[in-house]
Amino acid sequence: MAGATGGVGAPGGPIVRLERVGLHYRTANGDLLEAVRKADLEIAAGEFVSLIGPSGCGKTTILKLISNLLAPTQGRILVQGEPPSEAKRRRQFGFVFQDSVLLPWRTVMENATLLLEIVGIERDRMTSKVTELLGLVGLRGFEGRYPHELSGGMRQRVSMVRALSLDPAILLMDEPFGALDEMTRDRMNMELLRIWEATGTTIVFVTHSIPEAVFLSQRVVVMSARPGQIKEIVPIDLPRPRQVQVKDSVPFIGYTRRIRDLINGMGE
Amino acid sequence: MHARFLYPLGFGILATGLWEVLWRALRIPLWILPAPSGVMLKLYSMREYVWPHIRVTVIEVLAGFVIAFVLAITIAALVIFFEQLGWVLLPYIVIVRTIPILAIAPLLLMWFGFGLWPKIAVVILISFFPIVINAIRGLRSTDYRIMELMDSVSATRMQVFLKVRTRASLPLVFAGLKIAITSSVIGAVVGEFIGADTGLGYLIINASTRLDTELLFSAMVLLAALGLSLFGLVAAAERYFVFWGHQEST
Repeated sequence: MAGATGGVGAPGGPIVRLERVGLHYRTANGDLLEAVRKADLEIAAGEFVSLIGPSGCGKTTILKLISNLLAPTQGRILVQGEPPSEAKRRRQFGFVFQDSVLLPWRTVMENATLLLEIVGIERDRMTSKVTELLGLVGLRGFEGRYPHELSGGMRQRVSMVRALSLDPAILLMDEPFGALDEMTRDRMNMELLRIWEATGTTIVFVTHSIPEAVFLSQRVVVMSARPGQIKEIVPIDLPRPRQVQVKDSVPFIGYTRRIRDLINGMGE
Repeated sequence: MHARFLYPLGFGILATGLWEVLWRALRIPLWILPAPSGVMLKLYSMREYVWPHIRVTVIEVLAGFVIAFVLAITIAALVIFFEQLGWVLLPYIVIVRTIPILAIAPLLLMWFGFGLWPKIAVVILISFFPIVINAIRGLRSTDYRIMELMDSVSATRMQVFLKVRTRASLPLVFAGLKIAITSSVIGAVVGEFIGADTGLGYLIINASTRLDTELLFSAMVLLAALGLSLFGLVAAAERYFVFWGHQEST
């Protein structure tokens, strides 16, 4: 897909680059808080990277920094070789949140086409584009349903279609399956990998679940809290396409143990 | 019929029956309290006479309510687009709310004459506040993540307003409308108390000066029926427009 090609400004280079990125902000009572300290991270085009760590470690903040919802106070961020604001202007970011954040008065189809409407895509192209994506996530036949008629997993699929509707180069996912039960979550993980492989999108994925991070990612970025910083980046070398059975394999368990140790070793 | 309606109806019939029985048993004088049967007979015998009064009050309530609605929604929308306008207006909206209607009603009479308009003005004054406050809150009640999404595609404020805010505001707008519609009935009656020659409020004043408690209660029954029906209409509209229930937009 269009957005999946490499960086515009730096062909072959990383699609996202964080150089010594820090973020300070002042709280309501005047204290200066350090949310992120000296974060260095490069993400390759088409890569699947997870951010994991305790609450308050700045995982979500990193997503917001990449997507220009927040500006760093130190260091610099490049997306496709440009400042994030440029990438945002070219609509290179797709967002999926912990709950689906669908508009309850819109049907599945209308929710999925929301962003396309804003951008002003003509109706026929909009419908065919979204119909294709709804097929990809297995929601064909549900176009006319309303969010309150769907399960949590189905709502999250609609939200994924909405995020993918503009062919973003980078999909930013903030604990997208955190509110789902474990079985639905496993199924959604498989679907997400399938979608990732089908679209070639770069995915930056925030999660609290170590097995989820290991199962999905090519690299897991382990973060620590107060101040939020990158502790270690763990490359995950497991066979692809990933099957659920891999979760019982020795290397998988090795990865989860290592990441758990990293997280526990720094908390207290 | 649904139990949702049968239960309150049953309660009403039971309470009225008890009232009737006690009224007869205790031989309560008519000038203190009429019997339900007497009120019903009065209502029936005076149906021709009462009808124009009902009509006038309904017109006042509906006209005032609709005007208040249009005014309140317009101002709420303007406040969303121009925040400073809200800073300027909100204190005055509260002040207008706190003005005792009875204090300015004679003025309204002088400004707008003896006809329908002073009553409509009272209805507007009373029902404007709950609509405007809830509409502003409703128009602001959008999930910040939806705003981030809209921002990620550089949506204009007008697009956000039309595609997100208006519909998202409906649950709160209807909460305001439900308060406003019942207040409107009170407003019309209060307006009629000040000076009128028709309307259910006039009928109440007229009946109480003549100690015609049966007519007095007839007027109150009609007012109750009016309030209940209008509230029911608003609630029905709410169910139609807010079909997704009051749950969060998940």
